[in-house]
Amino acid sequence: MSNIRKTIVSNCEKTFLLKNLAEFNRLDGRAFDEFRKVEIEFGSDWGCCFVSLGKTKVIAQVSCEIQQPKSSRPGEGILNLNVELNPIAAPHFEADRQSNEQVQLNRLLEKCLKDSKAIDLESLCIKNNEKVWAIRVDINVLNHEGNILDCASIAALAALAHFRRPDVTCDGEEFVIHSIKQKDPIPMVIHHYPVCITYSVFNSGLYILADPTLLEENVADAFLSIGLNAYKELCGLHLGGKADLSPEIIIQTANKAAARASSVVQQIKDAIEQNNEIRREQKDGFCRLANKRDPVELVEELSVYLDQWSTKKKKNKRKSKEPKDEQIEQEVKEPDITADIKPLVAGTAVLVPKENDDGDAIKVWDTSESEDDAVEFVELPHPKVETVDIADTDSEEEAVIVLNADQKTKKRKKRLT
Amino acid sequence: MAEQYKSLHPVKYYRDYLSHNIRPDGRVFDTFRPVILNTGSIDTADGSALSKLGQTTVVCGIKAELCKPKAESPNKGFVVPNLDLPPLCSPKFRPGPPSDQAQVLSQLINDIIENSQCIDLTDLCIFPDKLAWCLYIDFICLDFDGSVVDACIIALVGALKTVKLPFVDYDAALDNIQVNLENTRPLPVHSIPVSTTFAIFDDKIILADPTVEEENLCTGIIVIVLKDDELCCVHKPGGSPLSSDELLGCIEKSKKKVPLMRDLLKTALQDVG
Amino acid sequence: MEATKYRCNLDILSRPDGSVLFCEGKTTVIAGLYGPVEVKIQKAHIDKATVDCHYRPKSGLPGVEDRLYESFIRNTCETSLVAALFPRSAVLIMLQEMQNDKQLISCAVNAACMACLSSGIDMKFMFGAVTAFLTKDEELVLTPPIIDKDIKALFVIVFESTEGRILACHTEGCFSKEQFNQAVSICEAQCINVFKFFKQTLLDNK
Repeated sequence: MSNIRKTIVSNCEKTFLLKNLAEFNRLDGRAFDEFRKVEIEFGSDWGCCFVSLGKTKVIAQVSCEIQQPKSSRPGEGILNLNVELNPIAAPHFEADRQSNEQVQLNRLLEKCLKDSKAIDLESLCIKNNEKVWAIRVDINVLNHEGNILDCASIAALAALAHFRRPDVTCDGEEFVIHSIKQKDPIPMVIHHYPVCITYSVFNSGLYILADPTLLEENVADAFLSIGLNAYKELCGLHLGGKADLSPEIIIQTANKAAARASSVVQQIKDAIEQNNEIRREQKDGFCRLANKRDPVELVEELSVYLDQWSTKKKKNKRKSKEPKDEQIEQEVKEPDITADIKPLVAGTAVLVPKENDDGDAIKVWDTSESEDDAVEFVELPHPKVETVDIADTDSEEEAVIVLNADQKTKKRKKRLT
Repeated sequence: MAEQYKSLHPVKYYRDYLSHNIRPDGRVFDTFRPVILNTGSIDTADGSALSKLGQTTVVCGIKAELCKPKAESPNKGFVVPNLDLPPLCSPKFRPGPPSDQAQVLSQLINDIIENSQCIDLTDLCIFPDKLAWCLYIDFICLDFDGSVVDACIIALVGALKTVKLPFVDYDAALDNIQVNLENTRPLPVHSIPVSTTFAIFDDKIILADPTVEEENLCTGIIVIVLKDDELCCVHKPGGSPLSSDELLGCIEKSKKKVPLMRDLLKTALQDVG
Repeated sequence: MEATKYRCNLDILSRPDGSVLFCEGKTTVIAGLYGPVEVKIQKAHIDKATVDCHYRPKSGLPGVEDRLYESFIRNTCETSLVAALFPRSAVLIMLQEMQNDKQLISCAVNAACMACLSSGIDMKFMFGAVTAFLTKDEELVLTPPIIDKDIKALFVIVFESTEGRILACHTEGCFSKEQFNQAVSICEAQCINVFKFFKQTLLDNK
């Protein structure tokens, strides 16, 4: 696989992320077991679905064709899943070449949806040993901001649940495929709804983050992917990377994931119902997306706020690292640290942990409660700039600007002699 | 001396010629190269033709095979055209899977066949939903010297006119196929498409029937396909912008080629048994 | 004549340098542009940027037909981008079909232009595409007829914004020269609306 356009994660980013994790912060402000917002949109065709998980975006399309069944299973239809990592999603994805990542994604998704027998294949049979429906699910990844697997599994499931195949009448030799106008198309028979839920594992299970973003995915030691349905049945389990997790942690994570799975499945079902109602009036499909303004843009301002946040350095106090065995409830904050949670704008909240001793060290800013006030102008502190005159030396420069002159630890620029 | 000048400044070399209203091979801007058409010389194929447009040589071979029609269109056969640009024809093609250019031209030829309706797919059906003919039309370029699409289309029509499909007896109840190789019928060809390629040089000058050197230096290509008096394809994939008058002028020029091609085809076929 | 309704949403994807979700009537295409980026040595040109285009259909693996669309859009973009400014680099244009209501090629070309504009890469001119349909009753319309069989011919013509000349052209079906001439003039008139829409979107998005 070509790595020519792959952006490597720098050591600074990695250390920054790990240090924040040690203080129970995630860079986008979520809790360790919080998932990003899922948005499901359907197109005007049956079986076309556009899903965004935070900024990761994926489009899935289901299509059907009549084929001869496999000789080993003459009475069953065929289901094909295909995930395409398009170059639009990330510059290092190559078109027409199956990378390892793509193969792994395809296999995990197949395990979750196909091997779990979620779709009833026997209902797809038209004529035993001669004609069956071959269903093909194509998933195209549009934007890669971490956790493609979850997004793809939700999209595939929603598309399959939304899809309707044409009605067919087969009496002896006569074989007729009815168009949509002649007879209503039939929905797919789905036994249960399995979704994949992915966690990123750091430091052999010390930190387990749900729904990792791109940076978290790249820095993590391993990833744990669990396929679950609404009935808390396990449909797939995958632990990949360099991590050694104890079985208890895996079981606990699976228990937490079960709650998430049922809420996602409910969201998919609601979205399909909603779409069925809208379809009768409008047939616009994805054109509705063109008018929406992405509210995730407002989270960008959060990073500007976080830039302002500063704490006094405490050299004496060392954060006590918890022993591995007691790392049972990751999401509960240490009882010593209190946090300040304030709503920012519609759909966004900010969490500012406070140090116990001196609350003044942290600037807690007043957040506007009004929903209209989306933009707040933040003044960044101007760095103190010192100019050193070195006109009397051999240097071609007349003056040298010293940055960060107020930091005592920064070495002064040596005078050129 | 001229050779060195040509390899050092090819564009300037061409510009000098074009300023005198003549091309390096002696033609004016609107003339196309002489065309040679040979039909029916390949016995192993069901239909064949070889066309030579100046130096550009294309062999077209048609093989007919029996197949089952698709469930969605039970009374239609299949036509599968494919253009192969092997390393033999030009140094810029390497061995391996079909290059992008070959794929694009194959698709263009497929579109031309569909748009001009020269083959009616229902003619290829033997028994609805059970048996139909599938025509594999293979083009092999032996010499790549520009205007490959033109050469392919002439070869295509020549080959189609020589295709003889055997009569097939099909017993639906017993699923018995009997092919009668002695008794053949010619394939009905409903129209004769004629294609002309133009190259836009320097955003201003339009040259008809470009050679490969002119194609490499040009800033745009236009392919116009006519069927009798109707247009069936005007393909201009990007390249220098043209005003609509200039485009219509190209269409007029390509119209003049149609009766000549028809006569050429008639003459070539009258000797074939 | 009923005009096609254009809608779009800029910067819908976070990874590409410029991206857009473009709706032409009901046809929807997502386009993304990366550029200038690193290029493979075999594909590098020493005097200009290598413009590459990838078109992905919604279902099924990309086939030979998509190669034709790719070469069409690639050549159009190459003419309009100032490729000479970025030697030994690549500009990648990616398109994903979302919904197809018979205006796919023109929607894809328009989306590609908007993606270029949204990314801020240097361009010589804007380009806009219009689709015209010739119905069985020999009438030229801009909105797609509902029944497929009613369409006798289809014209996709791409114009450039500075002088209004034809940049690219693609046709399907049979038609006469006069009908082609008529189609060109109708598309030219409609293309002015396309450019107005581009400019309006950019002003709204500041």
